[in-house]
Amino acid sequence: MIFNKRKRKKELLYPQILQLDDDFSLIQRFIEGDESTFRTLVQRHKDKIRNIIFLTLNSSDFVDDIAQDVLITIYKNLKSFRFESQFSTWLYRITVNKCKDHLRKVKIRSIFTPIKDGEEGPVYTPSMENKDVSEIVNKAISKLPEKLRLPLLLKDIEGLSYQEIAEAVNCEIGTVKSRIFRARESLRELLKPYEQELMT
Amino acid sequence: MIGKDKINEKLSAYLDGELSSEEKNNFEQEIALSPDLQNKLSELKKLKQLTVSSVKPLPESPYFETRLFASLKVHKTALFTLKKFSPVAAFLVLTLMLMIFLKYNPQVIENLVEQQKSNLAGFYKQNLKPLLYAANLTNEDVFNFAFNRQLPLDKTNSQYLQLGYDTTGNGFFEIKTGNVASNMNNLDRFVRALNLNSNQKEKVDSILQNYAEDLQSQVLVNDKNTVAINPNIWNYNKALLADLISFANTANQKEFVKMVPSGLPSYDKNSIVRVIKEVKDAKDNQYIFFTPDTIFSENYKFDKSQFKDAMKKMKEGMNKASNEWKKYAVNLQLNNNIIKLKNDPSWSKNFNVQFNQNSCRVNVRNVIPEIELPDFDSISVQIERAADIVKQVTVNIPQMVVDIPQGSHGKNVFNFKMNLPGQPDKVTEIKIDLDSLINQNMLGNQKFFGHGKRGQFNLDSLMSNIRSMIPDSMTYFNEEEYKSQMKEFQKEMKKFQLQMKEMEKELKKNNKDSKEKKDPIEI
Repeated sequence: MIFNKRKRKKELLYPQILQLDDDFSLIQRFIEGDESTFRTLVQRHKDKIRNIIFLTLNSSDFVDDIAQDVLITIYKNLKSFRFESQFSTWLYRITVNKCKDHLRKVKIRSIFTPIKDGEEGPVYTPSMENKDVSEIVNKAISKLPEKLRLPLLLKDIEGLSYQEIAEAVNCEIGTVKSRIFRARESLRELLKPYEQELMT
Repeated sequence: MIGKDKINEKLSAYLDGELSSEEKNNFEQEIALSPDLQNKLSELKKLKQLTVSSVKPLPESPYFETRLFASLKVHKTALFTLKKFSPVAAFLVLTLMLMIFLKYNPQVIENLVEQQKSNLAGFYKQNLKPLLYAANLTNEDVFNFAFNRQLPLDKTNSQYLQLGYDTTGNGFFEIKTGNVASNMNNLDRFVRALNLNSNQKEKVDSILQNYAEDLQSQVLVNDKNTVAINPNIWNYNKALLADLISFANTANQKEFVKMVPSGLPSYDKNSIVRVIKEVKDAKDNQYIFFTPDTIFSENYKFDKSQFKDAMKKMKEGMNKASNEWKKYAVNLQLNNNIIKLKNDPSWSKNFNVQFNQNSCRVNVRNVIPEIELPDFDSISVQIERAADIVKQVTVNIPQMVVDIPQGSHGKNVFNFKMNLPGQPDKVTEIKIDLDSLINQNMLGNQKFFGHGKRGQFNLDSLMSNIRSMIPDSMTYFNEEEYKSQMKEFQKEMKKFQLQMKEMEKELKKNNKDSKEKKDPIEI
């Protein structure tokens, strides 16, 4: 009797249209004790996670470390996953939060580390010549503030929807829409001096 | 301006495919009609292409998964270890916190201990009643308390309280299993020894009665086997002894001097009266509580006046309520429960407990109230010396059998054999000729104690073997002296024997001569 009740509840949670290897099924199997399914989840989402970290930090230095941290956190908390949102959304939020934590630590560390002469980083000057187009654009993107840059890249590079971006960065869809527009406007302004190079 | 931004924002969303189908259709119509919007859209498209093309792809990390699962394995082991040791860790953390807390708040533990102590003290203080409840003290008991320092705790189970002083002068009390010497009519002997008349006897009784009432409040008992002893009881004992000796001296000095030839040389009656008064007026709110679990010294207010009123009522209903009183009878299991007291350091400062097969002895330090009279100690020494002598003539002495073999008389050899009973506690009553003892004593101690004339029959030489049982100065003898005396006596007897033989020979000779001569008998 109890078994039947459980079966019915399971049917309600996972409709038949879902495939056996979708995220929810894999998570359910993981919860039931089959920890091998975690490897499938990792294989499926690791690239996305690594890319988001790379885009957020604008550097590849700590990508793997932070990605490992994200996946260990997922592993630890997967049994308490509530199936109320997409697994990917939950994953993106954790990834973005880990990146923010990292940036916060770097910022705090930089306060206590004296800046040596000539280490202030390359200064963007419009007079730079003989530069590759992608490098120019990349430099311009890196000049964008983080709250504008991240939604823009998540949209243009990762192809996330406004809804997914809103959930990942924990804000409203309208805000995401506005931030992406402002990012593009800022980028356009930053690239104006190179209009001719870009046109060619 | 705001309107223009809104349209450009909408254009950006249109480019990203984030407009609903209706919005998209309407906006596409709007774009088709506006060359500005078309230019703007193419500009945005170009910018988007530049963005997508400018960002370099992240290089692959071939060992990412291997490293991740290796980390997870370590993490799992660590997690398992953490889970395994989490109760221990929690306990350690709690202990550490408790230690830190107690380090900075030591009064908490002290308060707790004090609270527990007072709870325990409160438990044992409940329902304390005078000793009367356990054993109704007779004048005989009080008299024995004076001379033997014994008080019965329970007449049915025969446990009694023994007070005393150790070699260092500190007081001790013992709870002993056995009979009190109360059934030996020592009081009666005392009266007879002093040859007291009926009035004097009544006076003795009134002294004892007076102290009996005070003694009732000096030892308290309850239904939890608690014995609360007032340290002033040691002083009461001294006072009572002083009172009785003082009375004996005044009542019949002639007889008293017979018993105590040295008398009370520096006897100061006023000092004794002062001592008695001081003892009775001493603040005695402090009691030593001896319980099956612990021993402690605590303040306890015993209302004497209320007690005296209650005494009258109790005496009236004594027979009726005798069954009710049985629960106050002290019956301490001396071997099992109390033994754990030995390892309890909390009271060791003032008390030292020793256990024996039938007794439990508690040495008391710093608890007995000092009587502040400069001459009391010297008086008490004299009184105790006198009391020891009085005690010897009033208490019973173990049975001594003198066995003289009948057959040896024929050979004129006298072998004295003394058979002392094997059980020293088995005593039977024998009479001692008090006057002769004292007269002997008066003749001179040195002569009496073993330096008598050769051949003289010395009564006290017989008593040397029982000196270990009776600490009597009159019966003190050196064993070696006794042996040498006996040897000398035997030599004398041999000489006597030889003399007798010679006399026999002479007699025989004389007889022969007389027969030969056949002298006529002169009439």
